[in-house]
Amino acid sequence: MERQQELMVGADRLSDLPDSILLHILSMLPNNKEVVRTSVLSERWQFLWKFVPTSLNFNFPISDNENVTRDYLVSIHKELYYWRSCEKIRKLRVWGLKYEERYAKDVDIWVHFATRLANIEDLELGLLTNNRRYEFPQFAFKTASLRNLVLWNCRLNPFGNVNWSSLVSLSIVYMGFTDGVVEKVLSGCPNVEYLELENFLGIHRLEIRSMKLRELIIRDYKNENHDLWLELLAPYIQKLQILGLCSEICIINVASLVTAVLCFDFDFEDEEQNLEKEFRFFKELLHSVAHVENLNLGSWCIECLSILELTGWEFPPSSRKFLELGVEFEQLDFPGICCFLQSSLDLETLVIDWYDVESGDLLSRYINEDEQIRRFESHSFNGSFPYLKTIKILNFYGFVLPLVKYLLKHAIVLEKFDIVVVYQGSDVSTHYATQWHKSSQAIQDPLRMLQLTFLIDDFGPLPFVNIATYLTSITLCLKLSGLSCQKKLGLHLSISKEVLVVLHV
Amino acid sequence: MMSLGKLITLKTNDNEEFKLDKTVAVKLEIIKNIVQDVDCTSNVIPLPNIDGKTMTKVVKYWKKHSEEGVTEVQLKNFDQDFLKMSHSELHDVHLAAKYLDDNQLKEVIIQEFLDRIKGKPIEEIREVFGIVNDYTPEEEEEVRRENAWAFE
Repeated sequence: MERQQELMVGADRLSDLPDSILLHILSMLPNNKEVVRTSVLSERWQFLWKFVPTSLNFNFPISDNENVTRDYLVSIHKELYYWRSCEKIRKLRVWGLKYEERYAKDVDIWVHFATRLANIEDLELGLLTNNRRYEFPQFAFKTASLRNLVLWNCRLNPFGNVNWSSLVSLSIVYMGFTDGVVEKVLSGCPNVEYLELENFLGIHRLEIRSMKLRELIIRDYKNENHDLWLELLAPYIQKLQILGLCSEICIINVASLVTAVLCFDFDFEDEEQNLEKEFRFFKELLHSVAHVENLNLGSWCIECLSILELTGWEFPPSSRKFLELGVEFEQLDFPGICCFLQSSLDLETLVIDWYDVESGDLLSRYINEDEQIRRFESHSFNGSFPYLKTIKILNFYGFVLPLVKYLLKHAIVLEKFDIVVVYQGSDVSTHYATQWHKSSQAIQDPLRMLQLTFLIDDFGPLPFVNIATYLTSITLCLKLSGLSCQKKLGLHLSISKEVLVVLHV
Repeated sequence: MMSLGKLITLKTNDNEEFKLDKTVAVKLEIIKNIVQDVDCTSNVIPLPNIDGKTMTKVVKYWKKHSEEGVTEVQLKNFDQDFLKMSHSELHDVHLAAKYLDDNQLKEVIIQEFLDRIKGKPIEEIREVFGIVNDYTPEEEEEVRRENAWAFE
């Protein structure tokens, strides 16, 4: 109250602010109806709301009751009718309609509003369906205002030319294509930089010739005929991500590619008979991205490279500088991983992130863990990684000691080694600390920065005394390993991502 | 300790002078540009659009935010205190931040304005901000009716 009175004394008014600031403030109000309500304040405010950039967001209630759906549809129509006089609708997002053919006209109204009346920049149409797809209306294939378009369960079949001249980002999810449709759509999007195709089938050739299009994401590509591979020609894209569960993809030309993320599982038609084919697929994939600077491999790829290493296949040498291995692996995988590393001698940064669980047990059918451990121990590599300066092991909670030793031995110019330990649960033990102690003994001189972070997941309350014990034991181990004074050494303990205690040992 | 050579003087339109450590000052794009243009021997930068009262506040904000070892919590408390000013003062600081091209300060001020009107009923927003309702009762009723959907 005191503050309010104080504010009154100044006799200043919010209305004294210039329009540009008022509009900016209004645009930040979380509820856009609140913006409209300011029209009642005074004459000056009557039409200000119409010039405030706004987003319209509709989420269908989860319900099988058709009346609920109907009611919500009507409420969207009503609200769009009211918003029609707003000059600055940036975005329309409608999410979660269980699409049936009888709703086609309703969806048409939204698309018409977006592309013809409000000239919005972002349209997200998230339709759910088990059967019929919404036929994207012909009138919407020509609109200059759209910048970002996300379509779920729509059918794109433009009769004439497409003209989405401002479109920058296009995401198409759940779509049955026919060959040529993507190319036809893209021919009308000269400025598209980002294309995401998710859960799609029906095409066997994807040719992207646009020089502007930099990033392509393929997720869950389903091939109905396993004899036909999806041929990908995209000579100008710089980043390619293949994610989810995918059928055969044959990369023919990605000459300009800088970054490849291959974190997908292979969709087997018949596992037993097609291992040959699976490995052939993986080998071709690896060859086609041998020139990229940054490579990110997921669980299926890592399993494949382990098996291929066993069969004596030599990995194609590559010039990659950055490698990320995104899977929780075991000692079983060490030989394969190390051989793969040895084909990446230009490597500058290695990231091992255990965010994903290993999917298959294919490798264990070929060889058991003990045998792999023996093979790894006798593994000889006389070379080194002459450029490898940074190593990060993230989300680590298992056993990596032999791999850490291997890396410390061969990364002769290593400057920074980060290990982020995820500790789940409240029963703190000294297991990891002990393990760290052992591995830190192997640390070589060039290593300048060693950072060990313990990220403790919030799986319930953590008794403070346990953390203290934990910390003491780690500190002790680090001191024991003789790493104390001459090296800059940071030890971070992050609890529930909120409290950060930094100790300098 | 900072040496004299590292100091920069900012001079407001009412001739108040502010001496600032150069390392603080050149973080701001505008000052960096002026520093490059201005005769280095004088080291005085004129700020024709800002008065001393406002600049005192801005400098206070800069100094706190470039303090070595200052924690997030301390900054949060400082900001909270700093923003306890009238709308016109807030407005002046916003204009100064805009002139000095300090986006962080600009955003802080805008956010404060926003907090002052967010979630408040119309009558209260008028009362708090001293907005004079210049509608006739009939006009106001008309505007309310027209936008009734937003009051649902």
